[in-house]
This record gives sequence, C-alpha cells and structure tokens, in this order.
Amino acid sequence: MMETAAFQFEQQALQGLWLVRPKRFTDARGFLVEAYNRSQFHAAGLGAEIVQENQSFTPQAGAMRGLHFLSRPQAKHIRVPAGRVFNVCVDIRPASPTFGQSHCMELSAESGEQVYFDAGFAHGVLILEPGTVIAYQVDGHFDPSRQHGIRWDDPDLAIPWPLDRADIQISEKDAGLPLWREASAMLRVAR
Amino acid sequence: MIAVEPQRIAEVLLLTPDAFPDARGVLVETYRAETLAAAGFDQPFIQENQSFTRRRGTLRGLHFQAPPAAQAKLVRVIRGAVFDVAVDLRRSSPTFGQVVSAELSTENRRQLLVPEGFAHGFVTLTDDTEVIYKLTARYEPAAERGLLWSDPALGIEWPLPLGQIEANPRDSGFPILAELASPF
Repeated sequence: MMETAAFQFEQQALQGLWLVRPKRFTDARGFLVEAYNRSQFHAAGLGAEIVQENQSFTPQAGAMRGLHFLSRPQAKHIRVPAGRVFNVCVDIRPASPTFGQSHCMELSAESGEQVYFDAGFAHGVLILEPGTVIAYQVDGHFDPSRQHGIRWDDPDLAIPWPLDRADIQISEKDAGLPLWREASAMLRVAR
Repeated sequence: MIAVEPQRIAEVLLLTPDAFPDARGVLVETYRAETLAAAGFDQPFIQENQSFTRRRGTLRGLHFQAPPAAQAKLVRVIRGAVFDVAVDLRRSSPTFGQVVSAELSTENRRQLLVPEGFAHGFVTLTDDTEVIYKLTARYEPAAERGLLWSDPALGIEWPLPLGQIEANPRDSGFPILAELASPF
C-alpha cells in the first residue's frame, strides 16, 4: 500500500488495478475530499492522462451496465458520489498472467472508495441502491464505433453478482454481447 | 455534446452537457478536454475535489489561490443545487470587480468554468448538497486568499436573504474588494 497526503493506494491482485481511498476532511459545514490528484496518482504509479469524464445516474437498483471496453482499451478511474454499486473489472490483456480473471468489489458514496485501472480491463457495474451516481474519468475520448463488450453472465468468467438474475435489468445491447470464449479469441488475434 | 455559453465576462463559460437517457437511467459526458479546447480553454485539470454541505444557506468562498498557484475551476453539482459565483480580480480587466453567477443543480446539469484570475464561491440552495470541482493547479495552503462574499460593492444578487446565509469565521474575515491587493 502507498499513502500520500490525500490518498491511500492499494495495488490489487490484478496488476495495474488499484483500490483508492481518499481521505475525508470533515468540519461543521460538511466534508471535503480530494477525489483526484494527478501528481499523487502519478507518483503512486497510476499514470493515466485524463481527458474525459462521464457520469451516470440510475434511479433503480438492479440496473446493470457492462462489461464494456474499447478496441483501444482505456485507463479508467471510477467512483460513486451517490449510492452503491457492485463494480467488476476483467483483465483483457492477453499477455497478462491473470488474463480473464476478474476483480469485484462494492463501491459506495459512504465508503468513498474508488477503483483505478490501467488500459487493459473490461468494466461493468451493477447498481445496488436507487439514485446511484457513478463518475468515471478516462484517458481517451469516447468513440462509439470502437465499443466492445463481454456478456455479464458469462459462465467462464463466473462473476459473483450479488443480486438474483431476475432482479437484474440489462439493455438489449449489453444482453447481446459476445461470450468470453469469443471475445478472448478476438483479443488474442488483435494482439 | 456539451453546449458552451460564454458569459457576460467572456472567459467564464457556462457548460451544459447533453443527457442520454435510456431505460436504466441517464448518462452524461460531464467533461471533454477537446470541447473546452475548442472553446479556447486548453489547460489540463490535475485535481478534483468533492465537497458535501449539510445545510441550505451555507456559503463557501469567495476563494482563490495567488499566482503561481492560481487555479482555474470547473464546478458542477451532483446532489442538490447551488448559486455559484465568480468575481473578476484581474486588475487590468475592463470587468474587474464584476460578477458572473449561475444556479447549478443536478437537474439543470450546468457547470461553470471559472478561469484563473477570479474569486469563486457558492451558497447551497438545498440541504445535503454535493459539489465536484476540477482544478488546474494543486491545493497550496500558503497561496490561499479570499474576498468577502458579502461585500456590497460586488452587487452579488444572492438568491437567499443575507440573514439566511451562513459563512464560517474564516470566510467572514476576508477583505472587501477595495482592501484586497489582487495578485492578478
């Protein structure tokens, strides 16, 4: 673990993936956190150059987005300013010893914990509380023509989603994404 | 798409990103470096802060950092609403001492780009308000300065009666514009 003035950075089992804990400064009015700090992130090895940020708002628990990546995968810094999610990252780097392995954890506004990954992961979220806001920064501009994905319920990935299938709502597009078997073959070729 | 509207002081930009709703909820591109660059602002943001404010009527500001630690800020609200204010402190500016203000809320999705050379502050219009702001320079306590939010010379049209606005002792002790030696 690495600690800076405003953050703790904890390298996870998948190389290039970090759990980030910002420190919270509380006073009578409320609190202040540094949600991102380029020099402290870079000093800890989280080296993305951020050029875009997206924010999703989801009124209902059970909504699912993912698992997504772009043909030139992006580094991503994910946090949950309101509500709670189950956050999933899958290693899609063919040369990685953990290719195909996933990292799952709850992120919430209450804990303030964040996830950061270098380019080379597919990403998905399952909303666990109504009114959840997710903000994520990326190191490239979004290009819809380069979107790819993997099926959330892929049997080989076997992600331990914390809700029953019947309680999970997914878009048609996400439901039609390829299985890991096909996606991983494509990733190997593209390499 | 992010709509960009230059304000009365043209370097201050009001940004309104499109929302893409679907059955699950809404997705918004809250920041695109290339959109700001096309509008003439090309400084990279290197830090982001989030503040949570419990009570309606709480004032935070008017703050700035003196050069070389001067900061531009991109401010948005993710919960509740604020009345957001930028005051031009550039001594050679024809709009020195003038104010741009905007209501920013979760619902209107607006953001305010406050360039270097401005003091910035807001008053919360709702309980449990959360504000996120990106910064172009890091926090530098020794460079922190302030301007008194209630200085009548600024003519800020606060949307709450002054008696309902509460500032902490530090923010209440900042100088008025006439007594401020602006470093810009």
